[in-house]
Amino acid sequence: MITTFEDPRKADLRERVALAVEAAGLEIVAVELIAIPPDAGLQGGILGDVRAVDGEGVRHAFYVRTASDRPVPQWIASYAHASHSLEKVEVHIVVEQSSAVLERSCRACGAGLLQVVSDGDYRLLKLIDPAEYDPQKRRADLEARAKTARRRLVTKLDVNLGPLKDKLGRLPDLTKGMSPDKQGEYEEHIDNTISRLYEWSDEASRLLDGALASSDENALASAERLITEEGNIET
Amino acid sequence: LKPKEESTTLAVFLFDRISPRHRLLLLGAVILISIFTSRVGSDPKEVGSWFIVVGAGALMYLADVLREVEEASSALVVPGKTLMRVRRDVISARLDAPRCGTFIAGVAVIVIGFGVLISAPPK
Repeated sequence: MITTFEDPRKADLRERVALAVEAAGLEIVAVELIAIPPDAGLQGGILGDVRAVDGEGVRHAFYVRTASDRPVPQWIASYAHASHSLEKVEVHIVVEQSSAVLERSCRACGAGLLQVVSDGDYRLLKLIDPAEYDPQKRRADLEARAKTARRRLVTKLDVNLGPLKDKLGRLPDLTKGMSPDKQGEYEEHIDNTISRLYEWSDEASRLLDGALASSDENALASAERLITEEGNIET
Repeated sequence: LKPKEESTTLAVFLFDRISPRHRLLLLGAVILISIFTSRVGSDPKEVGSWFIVVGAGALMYLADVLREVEEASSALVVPGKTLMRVRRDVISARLDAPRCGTFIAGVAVIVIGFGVLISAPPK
């Protein structure tokens, strides 16, 4: 069955995943939304592209992904994380090809990772078990990453500010002979650059604080990107 | 309103091109001084050599001024101001009339010195 506007590749993979799930001895179930406790702060519930129940009554939600080189989207990651607070619910990502990025993000959010293989029959190869997930370790990793990012931010800010402040101190000597207007122009340029650097640093710091407060991997990644890619003095 | 155009004098234009090559200017001046100082040593009455030594000395001084211009320009580059624009500002500020005059006089004296040497009767 192809869902409206669904990528044909995804529809095809979903069909194969359904066959592999059945072959694994699980019972495919119809659309059944797994409700999430309201305190998780998520809307809706866990649905999955394919849903199944195993012999022990564990409900599995399989999210089929054709883009295996990208991390797990935030909304699935949030559901995977929330599933650990539910009884007998597991969230899995299913791909044809795995990647280091995807594996890392699955481990970080607590989703299982399965690979569809075909050797006559379709089979699901377990790459990551959701049971491996440890929220405390995830929190510790997140804090360590945030600490590293903050250290990098401070270093980069110092490295960029140092020469600018030095330049500002030497400005009377460097602009010797220029008109007061011209000297003011240079001072303003340097002041503006310093202000922009502080704004960038404040923004990155705010993002880091927010990412830590909400344990949000994506926000942390955005902060890391902001620190790495911006805050450079362009001439 | 049209933005105010920055005027570029001939001197600024000229020094803008010479300034990045200030070491070459220094090297040329040192070579001239070395050669013609030795000629003055062997024949102090050779007026042309004296002229060239004085002119090369003036160019050495200018090379040092241009070194300062380059250092100040590199240090002053900020976002929104290219090195070329900064250099022009620094040249306008530092290469005043006496320094431009020194450069012209230095070149002129060297040319006169060579002229005198060429026109002098062979010994």
